[in-house]
Amino acid sequence: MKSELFLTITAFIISTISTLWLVPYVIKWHKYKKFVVTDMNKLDQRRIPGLGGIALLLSFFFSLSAIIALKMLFDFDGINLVLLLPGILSIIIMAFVGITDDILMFPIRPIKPIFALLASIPMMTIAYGQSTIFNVPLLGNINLHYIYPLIIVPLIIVFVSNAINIMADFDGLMPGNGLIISITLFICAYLSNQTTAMVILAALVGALLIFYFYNKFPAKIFSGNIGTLFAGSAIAVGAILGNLKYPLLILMIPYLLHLILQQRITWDRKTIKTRPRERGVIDRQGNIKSEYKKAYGLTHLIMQKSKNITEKKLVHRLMIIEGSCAVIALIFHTFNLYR
Amino acid sequence: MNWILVTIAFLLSSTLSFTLFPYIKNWIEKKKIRNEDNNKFKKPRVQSLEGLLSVLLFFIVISIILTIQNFTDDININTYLLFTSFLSIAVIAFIGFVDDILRFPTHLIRNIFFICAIMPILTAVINQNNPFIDGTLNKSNIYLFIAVPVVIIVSSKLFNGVKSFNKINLALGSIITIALFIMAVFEENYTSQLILSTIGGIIIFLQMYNLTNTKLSLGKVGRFSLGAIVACAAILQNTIIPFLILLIPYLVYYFLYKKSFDREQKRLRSLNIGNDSPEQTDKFQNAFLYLTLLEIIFSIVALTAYLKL
Repeated sequence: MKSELFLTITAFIISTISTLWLVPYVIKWHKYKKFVVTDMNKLDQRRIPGLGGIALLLSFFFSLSAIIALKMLFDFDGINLVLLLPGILSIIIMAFVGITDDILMFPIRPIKPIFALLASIPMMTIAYGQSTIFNVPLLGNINLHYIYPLIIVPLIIVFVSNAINIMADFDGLMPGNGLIISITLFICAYLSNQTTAMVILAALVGALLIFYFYNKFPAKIFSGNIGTLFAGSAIAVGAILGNLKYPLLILMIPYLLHLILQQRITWDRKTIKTRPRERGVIDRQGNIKSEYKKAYGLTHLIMQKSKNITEKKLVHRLMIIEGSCAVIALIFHTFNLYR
Repeated sequence: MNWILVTIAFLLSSTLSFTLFPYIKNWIEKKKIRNEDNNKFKKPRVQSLEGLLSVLLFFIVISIILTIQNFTDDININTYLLFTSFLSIAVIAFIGFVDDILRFPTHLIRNIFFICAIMPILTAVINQNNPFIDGTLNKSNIYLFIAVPVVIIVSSKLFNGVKSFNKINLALGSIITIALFIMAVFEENYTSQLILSTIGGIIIFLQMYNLTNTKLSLGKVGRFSLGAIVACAAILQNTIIPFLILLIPYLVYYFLYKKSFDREQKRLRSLNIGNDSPEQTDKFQNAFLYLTLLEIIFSIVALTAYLKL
C-alpha cells in the first residue's frame, strides 16, 4: 500500500504545483490574446479569461504522465496502465470536444453528446473486463452482461460530463462541487483499495483545489466548456475505474434534480429547442434573482426560495447540498448499505 | 478479419472525409478563423483549421474500429498499443489546437507538454528490440527515453515546418504513409496498418481536394497530429531507421528551400506584392514536384533499407 500512497501523493502534489504555475500564466496569456468573455452575473459585466480549463487539463495530464514515467522506471505495483491510459484518453477526447465547442461552437446541439459518446468508447472497451453484476434494491443481484459496457458506461460518462457542464454558470460552482465529488470518490476508492482510480482522482483534486481559488467569487478566470467537460469526464472515469457507481449516483443527485427541473420548460413551452438560462438577474445590491416564475433548475429553485441571495451565497448553498450528498455517499460506502 | 478491418478503416475515413468535409468547411468559415496565404499575389485569407477535420475523423474511425473489435475474437489488433498511440496523438493534436487558437507565448511550455504526450507511447515500446544497437550492450533505456521522443518531436516539428505549403505536406505525408503501410504489411503489424490506413484515407482525400489550388490549410492541429501519427506508426512497427530516411526530403526542404523562400517572401512583402506571379508560381510548383519526386525516391530507399535490415 506504501507505493500506492506514494504515487497518489505524487500525483496530487505535481498537479497542484503545475496548476499553481499554469493558471496565472493562462490568465496573462488570455489577456494578451484578448480571448476574454463577459461575466454575465456581475453588474459591471466585466471581461474575464474564458478558457481556464486548458490549465486544468494540462496540469492533470502533466501529473499523470509523471506517474506513467515513474511506473515505467520503477515498476510500481497497484497502478494498471491498461486501465489508466484508456481512462486518460476518454478524458482528453472529452476536453477536445469542450475546446472545439468553446472556440467554434457546435452548430447543432446533439453533436456534443454524440462526441461525448465517442469519448466513452475507450472506457467501453476496458469495461468488458469489469464485473457486470449489480445489486438493485428489491430486485437483488442482476447480471447486466453487455448492457453494462455498451449502455451503462457511455451513459455515465455522457451524463456526468454534461451535468457538470450545465450547472457551472456561477463563480466557483464547478471547481467547488467538483472538489467535493472527487474528494468523496477518492476516499471511497481508498477504502476499496482502487489505486488507478485513486491516482486519477488525486490529480483531479490537486488541479481543482488550486483552480477553485481563482474561480471563486469574484472569478479571475472561467473554466469554459473544456474545463467542465474535462472535470465531468475525469469524475466519471475515476468512478468507473474504481467501481464506484453507487457513490457516484448519490453524489449526482443534485445534478439529476437540476436536469429534471430543467425539463419542465420543455413541457411548459411544448418545444425541445428551448433550454432555460442558468444565470439570474442582478440588482444594484448584487442580489441575484431568477428570471423565470417557475424553477427551471436547482439554481432557480434556491434563488426563488431565498429572498436576497448573492451569487456567492447561492454557490455556497449548492456546495452545502453537494456536501450533504457526499456525507451520505461516504456512510453508504463505508458501511456497505447498498444491499 | 484483420484485413477486412483495415479496409473498413480506410474506406470509412475516406468516405467520412468526403461527406463531412463541406459541412466542417462551412462551419469553420462561419467562425472566420483564417490566415493569410502569403504565397499568393492577392494574399487571400484561407481557412486555417481544416486539420481539425483530420483529427476528428481519426478519432471517429479509430473509435468505431475499437467498438467493432470488441465483438470479435478473430482480430490481431493490440488494443493497448492502439490506445497508447491514440492518446499520444490526441494530446499532440490538442497542443496544436491550443497553439492555433491562442499561440503559446514561449516554446518551453509547448515542448514540455510534447514530452508529456510521448509518455503513453513509451509504455507501449518498452519491450521492443533496440533497432540501433544489436548485441550485448543494453542501452534500451537510452533508446526508449531519447530516440523515441526525439523521433516523434522531430517528425511533428518537420511537418509543422512546411507551414506555408500545405500541398507539399499532404503529398509527402501520403507517400510516407504508403511506404510505412507497406512495411507494416511485411511486419504483419495490424495495429500500425489500422492507424496508417485511417490517416491514409483522410490525407489522400484532402490532397485530392487541394491538388489544383490550395483551398485549405491544415493548421498546427493538423500538421502536428499528422507528424505524430506517422511517427507513432513507425515506432509501433519498430521501423524507426526507414522512417528517418523517409523524413530526409523534409530536411532538404528545411535547408535548401525554406531560407530562400522566406527571404523571397520577405522581399516581396516589402515591395507590397505577393508571389503568385507566373515566375514565382513556377518556382513553388517546381519545389513541390522536386520534393515529391525526392520523397518517392527516398521511400524506395527506405523500403530497400527495411528489407535489408
